[in-house]
Amino acid sequence: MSNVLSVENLSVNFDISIKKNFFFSSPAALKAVDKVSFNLGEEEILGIVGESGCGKSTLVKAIMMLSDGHISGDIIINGKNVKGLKPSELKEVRKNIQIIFQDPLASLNPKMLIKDIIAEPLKVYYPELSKAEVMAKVFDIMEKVGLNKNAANRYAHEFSGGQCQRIGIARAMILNPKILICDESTSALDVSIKAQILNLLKDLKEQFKMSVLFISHDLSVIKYISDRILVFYLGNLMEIAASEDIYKHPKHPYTKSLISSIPGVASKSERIILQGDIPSPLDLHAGCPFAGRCFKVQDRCRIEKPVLEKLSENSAVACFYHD
Amino acid sequence: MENEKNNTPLLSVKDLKVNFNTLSGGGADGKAAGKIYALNGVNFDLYHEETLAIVGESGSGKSQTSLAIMGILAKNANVGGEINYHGKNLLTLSSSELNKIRGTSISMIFQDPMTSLNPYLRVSTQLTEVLTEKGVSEADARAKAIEILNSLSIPKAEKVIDNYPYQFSGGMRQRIMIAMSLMSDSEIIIADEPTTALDVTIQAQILDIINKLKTSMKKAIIFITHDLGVVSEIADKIAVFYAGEIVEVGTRDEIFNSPKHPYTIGLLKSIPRLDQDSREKLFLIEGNPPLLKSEPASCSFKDRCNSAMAICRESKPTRQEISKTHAFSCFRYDNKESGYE
Repeated sequence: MSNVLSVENLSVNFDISIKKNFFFSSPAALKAVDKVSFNLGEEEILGIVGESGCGKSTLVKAIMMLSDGHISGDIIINGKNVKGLKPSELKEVRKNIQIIFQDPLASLNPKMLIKDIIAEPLKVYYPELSKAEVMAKVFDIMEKVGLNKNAANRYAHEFSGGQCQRIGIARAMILNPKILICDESTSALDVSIKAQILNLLKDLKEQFKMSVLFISHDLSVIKYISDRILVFYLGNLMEIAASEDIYKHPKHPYTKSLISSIPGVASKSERIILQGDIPSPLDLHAGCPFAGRCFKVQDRCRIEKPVLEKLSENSAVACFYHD
Repeated sequence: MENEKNNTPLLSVKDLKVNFNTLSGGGADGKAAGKIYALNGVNFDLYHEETLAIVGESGSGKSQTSLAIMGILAKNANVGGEINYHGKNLLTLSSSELNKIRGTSISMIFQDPMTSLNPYLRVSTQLTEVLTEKGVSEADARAKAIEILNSLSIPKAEKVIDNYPYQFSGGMRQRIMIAMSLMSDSEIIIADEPTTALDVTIQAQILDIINKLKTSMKKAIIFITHDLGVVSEIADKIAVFYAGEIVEVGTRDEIFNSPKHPYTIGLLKSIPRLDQDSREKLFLIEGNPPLLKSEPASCSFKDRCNSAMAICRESKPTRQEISKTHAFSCFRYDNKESGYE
């Protein structure tokens, strides 16, 4: 399986220096993503799971080259390193990588007709297309995502959350991208609507033969849709494994506690309730980022940071004392 | 449920109806002025030391039910029915009479802990307010607040109590909200989506606390949520809301193991489960919930129901009780030959 996206040693830092006066400032940096490496294979759905503030969205922005932070490491999309590309070259790359956002209504322009919203990517990337060609493509994609034709001449506020998310999906899919990024795309939806959108995404992936990077904090959704899962904690990759394995045999203590905290999964006696909150990424210590909340912590964890250890072709874990 | 106390409901809601006058959007054409029928005859009882979970999707009337109990519905609301608490119908009380009950006997925990705490006031002020208003001394109220914060495992409670809300994390803020509801020994605590804004590991901590409210502090809890996983953790009894009505009510086992209403069945099947084969497709409830622009004359779920019949479009199903605790509103059960289980 060749990779459509490779991320190598990616770090994203934000400068948070406080300027004390004209001459002096106390330099500081927030490490939002810390030396992360992974691949996304052809026609693979890769899930990224983690709690708020763990760097999921920062990672996505870095991949799209939309980040304001300082990026180091490499991002290779379809064999091309996107770092340092000129805007015109970047545009060529972005044609193949599209994104669907979390809030369906907020990500649609309230003043544009639905057909114009869906057609906009075509107008940007393929200005040579005639009006009739554009509209034919718009209606075609609307049908594929389950939107009625008469939706074309209406505005976003006239639709429900699920319908708005279909519009967002149509806008992303109209370019026939090789990679689709879904950033918490079902989090704002109700249960019955969420199921509709998840099924639609799975169908589209088959139909368009694309790869999907699916970001969510919802573990059961991630499990349902993904082939492989990355577990993030405070900007660090804790564990990678095939979706079945990660739920049946989690290796990292954080993954274990994450899965056991899903309501309805663990019986009350086996539940691992983590103590304390997720620490702020501003005061990270040396050692493992999870050390402060870990139930298996040893002295070594507080001093030395575990590196990602490859366990098999598809799995890796960053813990000294993993199972 | 042996003794007398447990056989009479603490709170009894009867045929609760709420509709809203709207300036636009409620009319039959979707534009002219009209009414939105948010609650259309809700009935349930809450007993001592019981957790009743109210489950439903957005707009199904979960929150309006809790606002009606607290008497804090929006100004354009019309309310009908009864909410009986200790022999009084809360809907007929004046706001000064209600103020003797709100916050003292019935308290509420809201969804978003940041927006429901006042950012300008210290946590200590916000916690003690409910007691000092009633004449308790500042020092006593403060001592009680610290005691409660300690019991909710907030570290260094006597110090952090004078912090402002922004200085706490989401999970800590939600503990403060819970502490606030415990300040006055309320009998009933209404928790409106208290864990929805929290991360899953923090959610597990908060659910643990709420379970203890019932078991060790003997509270009756109404827990509102859209998350069926959370419900399975916390509920004794579950009421499933759809379009402003309770379509099914039962104990946790009855709802999860033998759901009867097609909506409950569909809802349970449409959640991705961890033990599910991911090649399997998720069960779908097609379409969207109705807009509630008129009072429903037939079954509200008929347009999305896989097993709708002619009668579902003509009249409204009545509530059928199949056990002391389990009831639902659907015609399918009348016709047992259809193989409906």
